Amino acid sequence: MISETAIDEAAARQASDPLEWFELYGDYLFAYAQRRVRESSAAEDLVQETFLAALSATGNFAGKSSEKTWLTGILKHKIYDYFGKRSRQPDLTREEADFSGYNRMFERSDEWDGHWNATHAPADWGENNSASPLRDVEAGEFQAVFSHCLRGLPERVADAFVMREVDGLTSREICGILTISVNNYWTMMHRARLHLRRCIEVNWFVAPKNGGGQGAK
Amino acid sequence: MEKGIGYRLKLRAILFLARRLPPCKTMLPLFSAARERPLTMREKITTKLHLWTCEACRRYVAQIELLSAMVKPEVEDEISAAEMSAKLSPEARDRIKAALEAAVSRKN
Repeated sequence: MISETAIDEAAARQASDPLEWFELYGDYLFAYAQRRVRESSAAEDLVQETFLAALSATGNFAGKSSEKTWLTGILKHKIYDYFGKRSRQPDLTREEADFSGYNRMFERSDEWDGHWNATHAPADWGENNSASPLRDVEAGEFQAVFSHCLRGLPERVADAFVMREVDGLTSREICGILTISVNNYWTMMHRARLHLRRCIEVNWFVAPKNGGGQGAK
Repeated sequence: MEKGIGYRLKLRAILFLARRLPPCKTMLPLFSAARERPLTMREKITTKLHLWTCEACRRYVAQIELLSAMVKPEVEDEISAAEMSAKLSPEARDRIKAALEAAVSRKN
């Protein structure tokens, strides 16, 4: 057990004991990892590895950055390593299969075959409207929909999207981590956007979410 | 209200172009690519023209842009972590603590 005094804020700032770090930043790092790898058990393992790495590298922490930033940096590397490992056994059947559903969005019986059909054309999100629900997105709520929608993608495609849009990595970095070609990367990003846009529309904009009893639907 | 001649001309121009340009299905990868790399001149022109003719694709482009903004983490401080409501389970917490304690005692 950690000493009872460890909770003291001032003492906490001076903490150099990995166990105290864990008390302070464990949940934060878990949430950070969970948001990216989307799988609790993997996120837990990554948090544990991060603290173990921090423990053996305490000497490297020169106090230039906050402990939290330092730990987050370690975790970040662990996450990308994990994505890289995961990418080496991609679920190719799923990556191939998923893309075929794409055609349905553009099947039409009129002369405009190949264009959006009525069921799949993007709906008005009110993105040009200042009173749009987008303006006051409830972070937690949107996050839940986003995570759900990422799960609908092949893992590797979702990983690429997370690195690109959540973390802002460059295409070169992402191709390096996942060992994929840049053409493959572009295809992945396209299908990720196509799927996520649609999924978020269905689950966030169309699904009743205004409470008032409708939310139960 | 009667639509003016300008409106009817615009409509004809849109139809004329839309019949000749690649369909939405072909254009979408390009809208995504525009966020990843510089487009060639030809791609740029096709994109501009297609978007002029197609409201659905204009929405698509605006929304993937919005999507990108919406998934960006706010400064990831304690507040946003709390909002995410993802917390270590008590089991995971104990397990990690035990692993850390073991590592600490090995080190000392």
